[in-house]
Amino acid sequence: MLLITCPYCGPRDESEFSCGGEAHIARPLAESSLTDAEFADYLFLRDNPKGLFLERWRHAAGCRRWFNMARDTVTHEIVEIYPMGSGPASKAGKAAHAASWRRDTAAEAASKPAHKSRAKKDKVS
Amino acid sequence: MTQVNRLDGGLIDRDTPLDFTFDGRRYGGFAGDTLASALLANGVRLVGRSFKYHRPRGIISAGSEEPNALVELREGARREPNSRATMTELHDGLVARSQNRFPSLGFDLMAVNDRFSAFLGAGFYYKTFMWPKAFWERVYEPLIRQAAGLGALSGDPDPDVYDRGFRHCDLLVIGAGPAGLMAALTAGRAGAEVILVDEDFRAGGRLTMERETVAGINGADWAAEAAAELVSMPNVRVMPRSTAIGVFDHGIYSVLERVADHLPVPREGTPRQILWRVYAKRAILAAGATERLIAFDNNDRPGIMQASAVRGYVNRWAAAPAERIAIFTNNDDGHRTAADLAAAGVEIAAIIDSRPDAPASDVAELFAGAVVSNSSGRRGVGHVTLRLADGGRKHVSCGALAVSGGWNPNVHLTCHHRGRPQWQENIAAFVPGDGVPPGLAVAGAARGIFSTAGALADGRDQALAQLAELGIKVTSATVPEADDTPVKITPLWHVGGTGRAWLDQQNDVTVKDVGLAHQENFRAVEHLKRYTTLGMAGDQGRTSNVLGLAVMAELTGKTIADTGTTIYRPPYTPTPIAAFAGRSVGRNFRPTRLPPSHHWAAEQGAVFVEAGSWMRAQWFPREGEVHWRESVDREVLATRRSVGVCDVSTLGKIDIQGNDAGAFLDLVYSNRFSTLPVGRTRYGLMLREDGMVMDDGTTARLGETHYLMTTTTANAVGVYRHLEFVRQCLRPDMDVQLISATDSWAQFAVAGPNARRVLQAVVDSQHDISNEAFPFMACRAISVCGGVPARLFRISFSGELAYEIAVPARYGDAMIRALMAAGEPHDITPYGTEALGVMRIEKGHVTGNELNGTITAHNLGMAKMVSTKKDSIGAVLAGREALVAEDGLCLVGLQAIDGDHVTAGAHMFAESTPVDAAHDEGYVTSAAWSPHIGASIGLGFIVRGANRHGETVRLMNPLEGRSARARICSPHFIDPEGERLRG
Amino acid sequence: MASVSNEGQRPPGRTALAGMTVMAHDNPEGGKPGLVITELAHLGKINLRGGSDMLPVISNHTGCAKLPDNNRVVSVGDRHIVWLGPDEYLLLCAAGSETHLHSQLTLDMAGIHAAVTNVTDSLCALSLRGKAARRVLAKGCSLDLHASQFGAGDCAQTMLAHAAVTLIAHDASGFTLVCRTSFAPYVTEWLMDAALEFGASFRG
Repeated sequence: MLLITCPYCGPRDESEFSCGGEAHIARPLAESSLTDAEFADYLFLRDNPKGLFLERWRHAAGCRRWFNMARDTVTHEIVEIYPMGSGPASKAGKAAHAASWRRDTAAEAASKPAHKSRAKKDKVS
Repeated sequence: MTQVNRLDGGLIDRDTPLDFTFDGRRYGGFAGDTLASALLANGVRLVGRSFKYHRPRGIISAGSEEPNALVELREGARREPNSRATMTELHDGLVARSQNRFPSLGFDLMAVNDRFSAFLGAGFYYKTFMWPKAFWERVYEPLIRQAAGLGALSGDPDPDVYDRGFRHCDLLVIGAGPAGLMAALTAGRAGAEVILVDEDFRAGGRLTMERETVAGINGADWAAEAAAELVSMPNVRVMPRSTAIGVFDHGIYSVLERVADHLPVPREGTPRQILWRVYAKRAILAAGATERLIAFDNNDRPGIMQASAVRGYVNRWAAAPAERIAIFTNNDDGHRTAADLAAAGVEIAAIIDSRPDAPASDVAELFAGAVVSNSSGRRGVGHVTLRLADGGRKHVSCGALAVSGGWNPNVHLTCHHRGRPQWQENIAAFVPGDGVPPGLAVAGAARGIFSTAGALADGRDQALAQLAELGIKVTSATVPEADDTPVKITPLWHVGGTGRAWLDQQNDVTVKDVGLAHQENFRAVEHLKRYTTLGMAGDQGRTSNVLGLAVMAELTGKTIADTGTTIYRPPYTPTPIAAFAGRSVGRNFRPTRLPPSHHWAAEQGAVFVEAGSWMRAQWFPREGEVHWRESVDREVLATRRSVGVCDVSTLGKIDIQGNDAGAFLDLVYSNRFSTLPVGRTRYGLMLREDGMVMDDGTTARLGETHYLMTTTTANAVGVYRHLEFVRQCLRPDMDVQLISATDSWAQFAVAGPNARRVLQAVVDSQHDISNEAFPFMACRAISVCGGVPARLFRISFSGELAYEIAVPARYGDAMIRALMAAGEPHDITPYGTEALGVMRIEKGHVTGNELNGTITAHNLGMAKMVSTKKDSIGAVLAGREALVAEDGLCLVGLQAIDGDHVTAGAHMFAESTPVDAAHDEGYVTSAAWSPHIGASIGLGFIVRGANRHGETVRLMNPLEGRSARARICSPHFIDPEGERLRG
Repeated sequence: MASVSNEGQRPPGRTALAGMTVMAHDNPEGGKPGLVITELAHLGKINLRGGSDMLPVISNHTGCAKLPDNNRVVSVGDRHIVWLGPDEYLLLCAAGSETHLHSQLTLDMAGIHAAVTNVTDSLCALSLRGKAARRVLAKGCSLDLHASQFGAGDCAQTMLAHAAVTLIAHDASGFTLVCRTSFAPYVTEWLMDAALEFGASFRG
């Protein structure tokens, strides 16, 4: 039983939310030509860390908006909640984001227009 | 009946006498009594039989930790087993019975188990019921089930209401003893929103059971005054009869309130119990402490009790557990009991203090350095045997033995986030350790501060600390004067002997069982618990755990601190399942949604079926029809012959608007929608990103930037969620808005050769719906019945000339009546979901049965619908080699031959192959009797199906032990060219 | 929409709770029922999606000076603009006025990134009044309904028992509850059951 602070509606009971799993998984652009294995990184492989985890949640019974949440899977401590489309602001959240194996995948690179892929690599999708 | 052991004084209302029965005998008590105190006052010591050995057992405690005095309350449907007599408030006419005995409490046949106890020790079940293996299901399990459990349920539905509720506060205080009251007073006076919960019906905790002075007045009176002050504060909610049973994340607590357990029957409309979810910014646990026993041979005899309970019964309830009571202690607290008993005029047989340096007593004969080594007596203690300091023996006759083994802080709630209590040597007890839930502070005896003055001060201090964190200012907070005597203890856990010394009296675990666990190497505390069941009873080891750990520590030569303790989990005390269910029973179990034509359908005598949360008409029986298929066959044939009508409002409808609506649909559908002309409808296939089909349906373009999508009834919620995910997480840049419109519109399918004629009678005349003006797959905003706005779609699920007409939901009832009236000349027939299903199978339309999550567009023969010219979800992986292989599964129709029946779920095999997994060629997804074909038909997937039309296959259904033969054919049983729906 | 040819023959509309028997439980303690439920039949409801550039248009048709903040309602006369989420509002208006208002808003917002949808029949509005209203709601709603936390002009989309609802507080004892039309019978029956101990009445 969690008490989650929806970034728009305020603190609400966990039962109003649905969890969408790992956050910051960008969809490869159509023009990219990934191998099946690379595509699988995007579609099938998910982290399951013991500790801080960046997740997508949706306030299903409220404003129906998706948002991101940095939650410790051991203590259930919620380190921060931040809107969809932005990256974590906390030190721990930033570290968890940077440390993800996903940052180096071809699938993530393929989610950005080709000519910008290098420059935007460190940005959060 | 005279109350033989009733004393003077006490906190009972002698002006309100109450009658009750126990095992059929009538007794008397007073308002303020518990069942336990009333039984003791009446001289009843034997109240139950133990779980395993059926040993006679009596009342041990005066609180929620009671392991023995479990009784069955009330009669009929309200019969409730395993109720703790110590927590049962007496009411007039209460009916209570003992449990786990046959034929009577005094003479119990199963007590024979006690004679065979040598064979029934720890691990008995694990060792005995191992072999032969075949015996488990037929012999052992039924036997164990027969013997297991204590009380029995009535078997009738519970007539009472149980409720759930939500409350919020700044500070939750758990326990209304001196620490809790002081904490609540401090916070309440500071203006904080406070909730104070206490499991007793009278505030004060131990203060109600002691002879103590607080602020110059009797402690119980001080507690009553404090409670009254709290009740008078608008910012404080005092909840008696309420137990905090669990601590969850982020300050969420579960509290069980027993609203009406103290009444014969709940007041009309009020719930019996309420399970509250309390959201507390901060909380203070002031749950007090529980006195431990000392194990010695036959220490489970009725009359052997916690010394604090004996004192409590005498002081609060004026009920002496016996006329002559001995006291066995290892600490100063036992002497307090002696003083209180003496003050109440109860005869004290002896004080047996295991400490050689025991303080002198001026109220009774003291045996310092002595222990109680055994007890004797029939159905209750009559004598105890002392082993004196000089090694000599002595018998002391007594009707009760008050045992004081030291106090265990009630740390349970601090463990609910996996916190581990830690050992504190000076009080020889576990106190809260690391891992106490965030926001929860512990005060008073619950953290080992046992004196009243200490508890009061700690309650205030913890409250001040919590208030400071909440930013609430406190100007002054004084603590009343009270007793501050320290308690000295020299631990003694068990007295060695040759018989059985009991640790866990509810689960019948002895010192020897712990020895056996040690011998068989189940030495870790968690192993010890599971092997012996020590601490696994309803009291979660509150009276037994530390004793068992101490015995194990002795055996392993480790300290108790090193041995550690098991952790406690919610619920703190046994909680009825009904309280968790709350109001979610019967019609409130889950919502039932009614489509707009429901009332009309009910008038027609429709048979309804639950479809998700909807109640839909399944068929409309007519007079004389006895079998459901008569009705369904008639509905199908009448529709195909002339015209039928069906409520399809339950299909999911999603309104999609925005400049990028078309592009958005191109992304979520495998086929293209941005090119769909305004006023037209197109069938769409929606894939998951892994290439499997998620859902299908038609989407209409109502305007340049306005589409209306339909989904299957079952997937309406899932598809909407998926679309919102795509919009918000994948493509937030798109200008598109999604609004669920399912409830907005009442929608009816009108199908059959006469469908247009019926519609022409209701559609306002200015709208031309002729075939030329309104061809197949057209859609348009129109009006009906003289100006009612409507939307008309020319789409067909049945394969007939068909329309779906939508009107605002409020007109749904009027619309179905208008359609029925307009269709009368054509013998219009309403049809339900069964006929709908038959017709879609006859037409070869797929639905949830086929779209089972493993099916691709390729399997459906719709590979061409996955556009490769645009990006769409699922397009990439739909092209995986194995998914587009030529020998993959392919949708086919099946027609049974030789009068056989197609059954859904059957697997398909070629004529002459073995029936095994290796030769499995596919499976049947849908089946129906087709009145049109006159045979049992179905849809299914079989390898290379497109090339196998005409072939005969065997349909094997081992689950139902059936097999049949069927011919593979096109899935379009009727009108494969689609001429009817274009006509 | 097509022109209305013969208004007089329009069939009657049916409310979400039409056909539900009038129910009443006496207050066991005497006096007024603790909860009085009234269906706000056909109350006009328009869903508005879009950013602050909708304000001039909305202001023009409702007289509101600003769009509501999060979890708040802005009321002008019988028109209420209820915050539902970022860039999403529910406009409540008198029964019957929604058709005209909807087409006006649609026209006026033609150049704006906005979606205007008439959801009058999609949703059912109930008026809840009475001393026990908050206590009854707190049996199925996890919000902090204390008057200091959820007072006049506050609103929330939340769950009541198993149904998604929008709650709007008017004063200490008065609320408007909005739920899906097809859930309305369930919500009403649940409220009546939960209010049994306080006395309750329902009027369609």
